Amino acid sequence: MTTSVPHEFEALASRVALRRLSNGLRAIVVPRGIAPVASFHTRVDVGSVDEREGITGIAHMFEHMAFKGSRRIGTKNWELERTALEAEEKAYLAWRAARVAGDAQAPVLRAQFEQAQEEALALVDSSEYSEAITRAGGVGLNATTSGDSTNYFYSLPSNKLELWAWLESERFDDPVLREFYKEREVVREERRMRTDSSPVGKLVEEALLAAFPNHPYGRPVIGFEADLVRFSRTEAEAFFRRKYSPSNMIVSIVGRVEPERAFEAVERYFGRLPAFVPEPSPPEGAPAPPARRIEVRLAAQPMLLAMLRRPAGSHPDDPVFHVLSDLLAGGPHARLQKALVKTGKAVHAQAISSFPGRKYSNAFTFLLVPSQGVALEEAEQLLWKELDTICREGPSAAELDAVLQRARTEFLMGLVANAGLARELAEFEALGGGWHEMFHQVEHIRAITVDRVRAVANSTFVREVCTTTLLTHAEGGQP
Amino acid sequence: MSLSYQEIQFPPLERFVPPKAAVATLSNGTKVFFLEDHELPLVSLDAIVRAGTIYEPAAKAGLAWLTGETMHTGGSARFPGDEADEIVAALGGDLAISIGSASGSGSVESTSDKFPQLVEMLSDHWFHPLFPEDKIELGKTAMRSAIARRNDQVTQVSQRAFQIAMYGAASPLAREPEYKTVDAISREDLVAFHRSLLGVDRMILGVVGDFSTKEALELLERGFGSAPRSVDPPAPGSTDPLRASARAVTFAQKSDVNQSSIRIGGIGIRRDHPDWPALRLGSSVLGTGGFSSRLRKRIRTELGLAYSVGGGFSAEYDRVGLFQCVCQTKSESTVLATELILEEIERMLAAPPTAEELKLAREQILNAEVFEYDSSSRILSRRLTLDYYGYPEAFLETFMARIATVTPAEVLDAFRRHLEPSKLQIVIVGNEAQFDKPLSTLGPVTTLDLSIPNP
Repeated sequence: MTTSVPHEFEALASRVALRRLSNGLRAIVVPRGIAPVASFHTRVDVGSVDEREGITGIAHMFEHMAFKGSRRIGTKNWELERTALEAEEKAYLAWRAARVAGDAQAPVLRAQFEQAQEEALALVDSSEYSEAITRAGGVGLNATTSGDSTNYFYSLPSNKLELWAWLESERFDDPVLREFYKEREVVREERRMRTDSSPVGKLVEEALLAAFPNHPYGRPVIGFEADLVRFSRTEAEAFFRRKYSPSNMIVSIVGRVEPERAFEAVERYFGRLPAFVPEPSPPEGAPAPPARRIEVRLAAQPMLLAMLRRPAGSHPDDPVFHVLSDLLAGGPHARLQKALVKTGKAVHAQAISSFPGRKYSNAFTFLLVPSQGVALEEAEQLLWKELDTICREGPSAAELDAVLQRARTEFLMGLVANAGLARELAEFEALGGGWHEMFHQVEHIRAITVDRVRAVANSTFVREVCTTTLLTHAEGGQP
Repeated sequence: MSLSYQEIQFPPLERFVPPKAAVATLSNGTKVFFLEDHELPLVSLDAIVRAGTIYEPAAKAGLAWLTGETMHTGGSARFPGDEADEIVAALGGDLAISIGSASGSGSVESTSDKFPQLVEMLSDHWFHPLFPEDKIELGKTAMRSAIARRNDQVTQVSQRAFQIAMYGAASPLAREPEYKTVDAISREDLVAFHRSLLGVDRMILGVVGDFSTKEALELLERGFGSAPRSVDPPAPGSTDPLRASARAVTFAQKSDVNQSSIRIGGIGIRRDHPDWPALRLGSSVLGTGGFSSRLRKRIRTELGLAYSVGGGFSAEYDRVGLFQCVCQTKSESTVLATELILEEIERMLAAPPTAEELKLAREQILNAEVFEYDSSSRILSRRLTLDYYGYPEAFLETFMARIATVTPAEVLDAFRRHLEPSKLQIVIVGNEAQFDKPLSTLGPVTTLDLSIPNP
């Protein structure tokens, strides 16, 4: 690439190196800092958008399973365990078929499954995989799943580079989805925590269903409860084999590492992942439905989500949406704060430029939390008054300049931590423009004019396609 | 390629000398810690002050928060709040003031070129606030709205119930603002709180990033070197936990959830207690050591009863901390999960951890020690914290040396000294109609009425 990086970021950008292995996996390495530590990040271009009806939640489920090990790690005896796992799966599928058919044999088959499960679990060396990381001094060990991607990350003392390469490539080369049905229960608890027992969680799930009909973003990442009690290990393995190709993976390493040694380790360990063409992600979903108004009645205080469709993150207008969210709600000086929070009408007014993902058309989203005693409709009217004003007049030149100053500071702050830099480089590399794009964000914002902001505001803030989800108070549930 | 990860030979960890914070004193005696780091053109200033809700009268709960909030939103005569917001935005930086339970903070973060202006503004807001009535009223609106919303999230409810069970409803660590205490606060109260507690004599400062020490010292001297001192500061309220005489269950009903929030509590220690390293290691074995900990392994991995489960001792710098285990489980396994946690706690008291468990806990801490020094801001922030609480500069090094030598028997002894299972407090918030067993199987039950009185 010859794209020149803005001068002030050259010193850092010149240390970023990218290599592509012959199986398609990309690796980014940035030597940096004096403390002997390194952060490791793997971004897999697979998320809940890649699921099909009936297996919602399986991308996230696989993320959980990626901590369970392989034939070589996490087992007490692989030969015995393999047989036990086969028996467990056979018993599960038999029970499920009977359950679906309403067969009277279901309880018996369930008992047989539980027996087979116990036999398989007895052969597991549970937590060996994550222990290998934390024992070596690993910190920040975690993983996340979104609509767009699945991310696995942690940091280690930098002399443990090879351990990361072994473990991280192992989980994608030879994953064994042991303890699957126990972990499915863990995920159901996660759903209860994040969605069923959380007013905001419920509100967001309903809002996405309403705003994205026939669209990959309409389904919840965590999965529907009906699917979480139904899908099988066989289906999770099939999902992995369809989607987890090296060409869908980007690994990045930031810290006190010698680039050649890092690339050599990536080559040696990740080079073994077999190349294949992954099943393509689904096509762009249906366009925005006409304006909808949903009411979710919960035992909680009122709030409102307004969702307005906008194009995918790859669209040239993407930085304009950032500018809009910042000048509308980026701090105490912003327009919605002045109109809603500083007038005492709301305690919180937030604008999210891209939700719930960036790969497809998504929603410019507003969250309003009205003050005690203020009607949702009043807060909503004040929101639209501000949106109408920005559509009519556009921002002032001073506002645009302030957005630019903040964008630069925020960008610099994002470079401070190794883990954050590793994540951002992988993300930008995945989004199509290449990792260099990360260093051009501020320049893109500098180039945006008042007229362009007004034009994008006018094409986005359109009431006729707004999905508004209201959380209204229902009695009961209060302690 | 190595066949097994256990066969990988690691090169020795590169030796490095972490940067050290320097200390200076302003003309009025205010301590400033510095650490220059020029990798990126960013600087931040942190001021810590001895003030918080523990100093406010119970009848005016919320005063500390409102004072900090209005110092910022109201601003000063030179930089009135709304104008200050515009200036901060134009500079692209952050300026924040907040007062917590036992300490308050003021902070600035920006690119190096904008830093002097923001520091000037922070010190003017801090020492010469206007406290305008309209911003006080706005802050009260926010507090009343927070009161109205405080029962919405089950974990927030259980957190509050837990503080009440451990400290008593009247403790400054448990009580919360109520409509009537918010109504009772006047502008004069803010002025008095500010005058008595937020003086420069109760403050220390830390600066980290891209600056020159000489220039920063001059800047801080101008902003803080001759600032007003506190006048007649009140004594803080007691932060001692209750000494329970027996195990008891505190319950709060929440009908709209299908998952319970469980907390089990006991009394912990101060961080400078000689047992802290042993309790830290034992806590790792019990429930803070990630997937390998007993609670996580049994209740989450093996039984699938929870996504979130764990806990152990925490230690505070300036007061006795708590022992706390937490779990969120479906309503139908509420009592079962609680019993399992209690069983694991009892097991910690019945026998020492295995040599293998202790080795793992030890290695997790010692091998990650390098991350205590991996950024200038972490190094500076630790130095600031240790000095603020009057701890020795080498506190972490001493702690690590002790971690290396603690034996399984010492972990057992320390747990036995500090944990009395017959006095553990159990707090459960959830939908009782769906519970697997009556809560009374766990101990005598007190039902908390957390309903919100009408404004």
